[in-house]
Amino acid sequence: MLKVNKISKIYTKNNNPVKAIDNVSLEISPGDFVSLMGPSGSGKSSLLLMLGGMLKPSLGEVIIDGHSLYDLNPEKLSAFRLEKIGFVFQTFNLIPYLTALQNVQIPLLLKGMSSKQQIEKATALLEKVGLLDRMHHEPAELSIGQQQRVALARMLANDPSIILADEPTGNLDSAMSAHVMQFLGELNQEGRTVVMVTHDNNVAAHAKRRLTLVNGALEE
Amino acid sequence: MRILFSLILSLWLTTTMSAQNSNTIEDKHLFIFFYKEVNEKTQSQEKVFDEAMQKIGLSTKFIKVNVKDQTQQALIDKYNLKRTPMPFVLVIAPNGAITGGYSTFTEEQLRNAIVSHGTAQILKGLQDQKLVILALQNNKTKNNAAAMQGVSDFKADPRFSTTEIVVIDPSDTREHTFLKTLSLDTNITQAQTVLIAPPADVLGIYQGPTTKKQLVDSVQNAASGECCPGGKCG
Amino acid sequence: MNWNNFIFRELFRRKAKLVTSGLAIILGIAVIVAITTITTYSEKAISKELDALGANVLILPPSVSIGDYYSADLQGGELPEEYVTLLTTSNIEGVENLSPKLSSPIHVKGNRVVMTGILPKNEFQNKTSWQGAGVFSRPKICGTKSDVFNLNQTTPKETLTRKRVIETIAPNEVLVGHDIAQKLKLQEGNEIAMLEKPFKIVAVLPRTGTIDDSRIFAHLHTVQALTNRGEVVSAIEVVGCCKQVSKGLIGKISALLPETNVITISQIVATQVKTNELMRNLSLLFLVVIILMGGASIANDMYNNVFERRKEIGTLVALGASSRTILKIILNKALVLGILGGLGGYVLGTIFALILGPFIAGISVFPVFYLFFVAVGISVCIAMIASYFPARYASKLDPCTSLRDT
Repeated sequence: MLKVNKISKIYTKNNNPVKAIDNVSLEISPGDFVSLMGPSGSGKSSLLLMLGGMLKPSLGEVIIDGHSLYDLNPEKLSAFRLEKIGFVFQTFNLIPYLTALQNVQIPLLLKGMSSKQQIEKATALLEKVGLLDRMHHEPAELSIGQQQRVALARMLANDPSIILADEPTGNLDSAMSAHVMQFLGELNQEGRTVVMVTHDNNVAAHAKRRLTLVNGALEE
Repeated sequence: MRILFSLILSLWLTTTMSAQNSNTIEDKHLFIFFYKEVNEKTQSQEKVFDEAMQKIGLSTKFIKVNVKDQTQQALIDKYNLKRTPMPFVLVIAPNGAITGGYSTFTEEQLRNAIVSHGTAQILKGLQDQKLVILALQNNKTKNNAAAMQGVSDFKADPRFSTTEIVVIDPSDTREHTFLKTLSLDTNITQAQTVLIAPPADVLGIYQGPTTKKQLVDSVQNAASGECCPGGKCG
Repeated sequence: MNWNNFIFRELFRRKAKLVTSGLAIILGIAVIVAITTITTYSEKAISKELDALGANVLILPPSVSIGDYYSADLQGGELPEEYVTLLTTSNIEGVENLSPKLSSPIHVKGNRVVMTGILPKNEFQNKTSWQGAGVFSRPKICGTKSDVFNLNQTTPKETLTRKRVIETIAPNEVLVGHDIAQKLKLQEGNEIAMLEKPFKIVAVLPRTGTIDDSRIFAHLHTVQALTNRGEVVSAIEVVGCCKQVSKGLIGKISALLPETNVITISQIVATQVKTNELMRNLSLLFLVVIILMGGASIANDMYNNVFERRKEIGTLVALGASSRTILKIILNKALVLGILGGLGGYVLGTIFALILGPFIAGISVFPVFYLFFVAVGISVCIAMIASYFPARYASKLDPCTSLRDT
C-alpha cells in the first residue's frame, strides 16, 4: 500500500516561497495502475520523486508498506528503494560508458550479487525485452526504442513491487509508445503497482486511475 | 785528500761488520753528512752537525760527502740516496745498521742515533728484512734453555732459517734505554723472548719457555691481522 | 561486473582526460624518483670510495683542484721524489704505506693509455727504520703488515688492487689494468713495448671500476727516464687504515711539506655529498610542489567529473545506491588514478635517472625498486586527499536536482 498524507513541497525563490505541491493526500492500493497528469510545472514529476523517496516533502509523510519513507535514515531509504522501487525515466538515464548488459547489471551489483548471477539475470531480462543481440552495445549504438527497453529491463532487475515511470513514452514514437505501455500493462497484471506521469491522454488511458495535478493540488 | 778519505771510509765499511764490543776505532758510529750544494739550508745544518760532532766527541767518526762527487756514487747507491733531499745525515752503527737518517736534525737527534750494541744488532737484522728474536736472559734468569729451545726449533724451520737471534743481558745498563722503548721490564726473573719483524713490529713477547708453535703462530697472525686499534680499520 | 570494472570503464572512456588528469602528479613523482635514484647511487659510490680510500691521504702539487680521487695524479703538476724520503724518515705515524706515482698519457698500439710509474715499497720501506731505536716506540696503529715471508701468498696484482701499493716491481715489469688488457688483448707473461722499450707483463689486474682499469703500471724510475720528466712524482698517496690517524696526518704532512696540497678522500667527496644533499632538499621541495599542484589539479578534475556525472549519480541513487556507495565510487577512482600516477611517475623517473645519472653524477644508475612503493604511496595519498571533498560533494548531491538539471 502506498500512502501520501498531506504532503506539501515548498521551494524558496528570491526569498519568496513557491508551493509546488500543496497538501496532497493519496492512497494507491497494491496492483493499482495510476496515471498522473497535469500541465507543465504542475509538480507531477516532483510528486513522483517524493513517492520514490528521492525528494523529501516540506510537510507531510509518504508511507509505503507501513514505512514512513522520510523517517528512514539515508542508508535504509536507499536500501528500500533498491528493494521495492523501479524507476523509468523519460530520457532513459542509461550510463553511457556501460553496455546494455552492464546497465542492467547495476541494480544487481548494488544488491551485492556475484558477477555470474548478475550476467545470468541481466541476460534473461534483456531477452525478455527482445535485446539479446544488442546486449554488448553501448547506449550510443542503440536506437531510442532500444535504449528505452534497456531502461525497462534495468528497472525490473531488482523485481520491484512499485514502478514509478516519468513520461516513459515522452521520447518515443507511437509504435514504441504502444509497445512500452503494453509492457507496463503486463507488469501491472503481475501485481506490481504502477504510477506513471504523462501529459499524453492516450497514454494515460492505459491506467486504471487517472489523477490530475493542478496548481499543486490533486484531482481525481 | 779525497783518496785518503775514501780509503778510510772503505776500511770502516768493510770492518764494521765484524766489530763486536771492542773499543777499537771500528766501534764508533759513523756520521755521514751528505750535501749537494752550498746553500743556506746546507750551511745551517752543517753548523748543527759540526757542533754536535764536537760535543759528542770520541764515540763518533764523521765525514762529509758531496753527492755530485762521482767517486762516491757507490756509497750513494748503496744507501739509495739518489732521490733523497739534501742535506742529509746518515748514521751507521759499527755493525752496518743504519741508526739515523735525517734531512732536518738537531744535536739531540744525532746524539740519540748512537745506539747500544744490542739495538744495532736488532736494527741490522730488521734492515736486512729478517725476523729478529731478542733473547733477554742472563745467568740469573730462569728457563733460559727452555726459552732458547723454541727459538732454535723456530730457526731450524727452513722458512725462518734467516732469523737473527740477539741475546741481551737485561742487567746491562747500556741496553736499558733500548729495552724501555720496547716496554720491556729489565727486572725479570724468567728469560724473556721477543719476536720482532721488519720494519719494527713486535709480534710477540714470551715469558719463560717458548715453543716453535708460539712463534710461528705470531708470524702468521701478523701476516693476516688488522693493523688498527681494536682491529677496526677504515 | 564489479565496481572496479565500473570505475575502469569510466576512466578509460576518455583517455586524453585521464592522461591530463594525472600529468601533474606523474611528472612530479618522476622528478622525485629520478633525483632519489641518482642520489642513492651517488651515495653508494661515495660510500664505496670511502670504504676503499677513507683513510687515505693524497699529497699533490699546490693549488691543484681535483674532483676525482682516482685520477688525481693526472693533473700535470709535479712534486720532487725527495718528498718520499722526507716522509719515510720523518717521525710522523701512519706514513709507512706510501704510493708515489707519476702518470703520463702515452700511445700503445694506437690506443691512448695512461702509463703510471709507481714506486714499490721495498725501495723506501727500509728508510722507515732509519729512526733508530725510536722506531720501536711509535704506536702500533697504521703499521705495515709483517708478511715478510709472504705467508699469505699475495701476488703483485692483489696488493696493488686491494691496497693501492705495490711491494716490488722490476724496472722492466708492468702490471696492466683490466680494461686496457682486454682492449689490447694482453695477458700475463706477454711482452709489450712502451715508448720503444720492451716490458714484461707480470700481472693483469682485476676490474676495479676506476680509472686504474685503463692504466699500465711500471716502476716509477723507469717512467721518469722514459718520459724525461726527471726525479719527480705527480702525487703521493698515503694509504692509511685508520681514519683517526688520517685526521692527524694532514696537519703533520702539511707542516713537513709546506709546498704541497694535502687532502683526504672525504674532502673530495664533500662536494659530491653537498650536491647529494642539495638534490635531496630539492626533491623535498618538489614533493611539496607536486602535493600542492598535483593535488589541486586532481581536486579540480574530480569536481568537474562529479559535476559532469551528476545525472549519472542521480540515476545511481534512483536505482538504490547509497551516499556511501557514491563516495566509494569516487574515492576508488582516485585510488586508481593514484596507482596509475605512481606507476607512471616511477617508470618515467627511473628512465630519467638511467639516462641522466651518468651525465650528472658520472655513475651508473639502476632502478631502485623500493621507490615504486614510495611513488605509488605518495601518488595515492595525494589523489585520495584531493578527491575527498569532491567525493563528499557527489555523495550529497540532491538526486532530484541532478536528474532535472540535465
